[in-house]
Amino acid sequence: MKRFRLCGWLPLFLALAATGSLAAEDPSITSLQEEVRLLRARLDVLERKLAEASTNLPLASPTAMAPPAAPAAPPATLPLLVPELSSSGLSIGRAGGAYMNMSFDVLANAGWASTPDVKSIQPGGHDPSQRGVSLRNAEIALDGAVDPYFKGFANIVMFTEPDESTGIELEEAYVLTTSLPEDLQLKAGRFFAEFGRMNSQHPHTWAFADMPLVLNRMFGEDGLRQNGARISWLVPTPNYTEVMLGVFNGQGSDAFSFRYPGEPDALGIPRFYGRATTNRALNALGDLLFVPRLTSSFDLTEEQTLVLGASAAIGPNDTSDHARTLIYGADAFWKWKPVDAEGGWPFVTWQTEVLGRNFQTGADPVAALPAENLHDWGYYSQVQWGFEPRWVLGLRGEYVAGDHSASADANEERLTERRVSTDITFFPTEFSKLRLQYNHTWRESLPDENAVWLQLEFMLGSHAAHKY
Amino acid sequence: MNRLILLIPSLAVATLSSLAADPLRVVATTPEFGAIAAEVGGDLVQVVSLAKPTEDAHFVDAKPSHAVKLARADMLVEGGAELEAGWLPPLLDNSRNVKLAAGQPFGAGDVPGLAGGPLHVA
Repeated sequence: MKRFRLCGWLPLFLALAATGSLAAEDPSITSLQEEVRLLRARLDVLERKLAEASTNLPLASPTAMAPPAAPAAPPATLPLLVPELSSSGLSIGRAGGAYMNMSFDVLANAGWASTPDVKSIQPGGHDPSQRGVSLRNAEIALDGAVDPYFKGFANIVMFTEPDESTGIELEEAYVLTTSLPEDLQLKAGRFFAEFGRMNSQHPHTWAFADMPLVLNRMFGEDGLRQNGARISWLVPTPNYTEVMLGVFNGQGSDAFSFRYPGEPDALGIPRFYGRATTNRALNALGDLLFVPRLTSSFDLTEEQTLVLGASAAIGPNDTSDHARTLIYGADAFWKWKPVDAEGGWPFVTWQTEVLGRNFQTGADPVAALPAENLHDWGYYSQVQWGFEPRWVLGLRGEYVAGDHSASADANEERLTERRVSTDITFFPTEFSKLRLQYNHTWRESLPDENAVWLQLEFMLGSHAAHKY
Repeated sequence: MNRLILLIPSLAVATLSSLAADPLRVVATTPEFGAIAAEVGGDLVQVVSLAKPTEDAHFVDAKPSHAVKLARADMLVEGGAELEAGWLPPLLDNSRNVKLAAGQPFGAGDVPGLAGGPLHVA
């Protein structure tokens, strides 16, 4: 501002000084002088107002500079940087009507299994974990609008262990863009990879109390969940088609088939499928985990919708410096709900996911294990029938298998397993449910096992709605 | 629900030139809101409703095809007051349509013909 003033007025002053002797005689110069005087006076007023405004305003925004003619607005009524947002949730500590939904959701399981080693037949991290009562998912879910450009989500999950200690995990914390051009959308932070249907769903939306065995085999006990980013494009076709690409670190037990060093053996050496692992760092772009997905939906009739998807997860694993893993899958979801349904009932849904994995292992000469290419495959298929308002019957069949490995550990962890489950769920409201489930498990060269679980869910607060 | 019909145009962004060529694409969450939008907008709007006339507006399935309709919309007419809380938010997230983003300014003057028309029907 100061520089502008000097540069702007100096030549004029010089010119006036040079012609000063003539000024008294020339009427045009007199009028010019008068005009300059008036302009200077106006400039002084403007500068004063500006100084006042800037001292009153710690938060300077272009719109806060009131025009000089208008009276200075008191700070309380200044336009806020955060625009009004429609709110349906709890408003906390933020001006401008921004909101955050906050909910607390608890899933508890009580029941019995024919084997005391419940983990061997219920490997999922949020599955019932012991005879008696287990509480494996108490979840604080937060979501809201960050600003006009981002929505934010977070899930903080607590669970109790058999020794009565409480574990806590930052399950998800991410932003979703709202205004990228060309129907693009970016998700960034920590979140479940969008592989198939169930991997990215939270346990309280599952149709059964436990996770399908094939997902445990491929993604470990907690699903594929990482720090990273995902770009998605809504393809401009008449029906719904979405293309996604997730890029993640691909490390740790939440990227089980990738850069996960495995559990330490008796000597403290971390091993995966029998091989001593190396801690592969990120050395190149190709060391990241890539998760592409394509999904499409078809409204078959007024009452029936079909959603199809194909996914892959591609990345390195820790069994050698060059070993890589490829997981691929196809998924289908079909729903029938009559046009005269009341409160969402009756309905029938069918959901199936088929997955395969190629796992290259490195050689471990000390353990006398060669480099191998291990194949695993499996599926689950489930039907849910909402036969009566608030009641749902479910039936699920599962299969998972792997080819033979030179490693006894790998064979033991990759048994051929079949499981059949049936459950009946009662929803007093959409904020609570009671579920009774029966599982029968067949395992290669091991006795059959049975389990019965009673699951209770309750939810406090306001929880974001879920995807179809 | 004291207010039977609560018409909240979340947003309409329409330039004069685009209006001259195409009608404003309006998505209404229910056929009732759609009927009002069609009545108010006349020839200037093309209205699509998400819920079926027989469907309970609290329990509409968040079908992916609804996200496509929202992605192509210029304007959304919703009931608010948590009528659609169980299904509309994930559809809007997935529609990634900046025109329907909460907080976008809406002015009746943006839509010739709507100026002076009812923005809130209570």
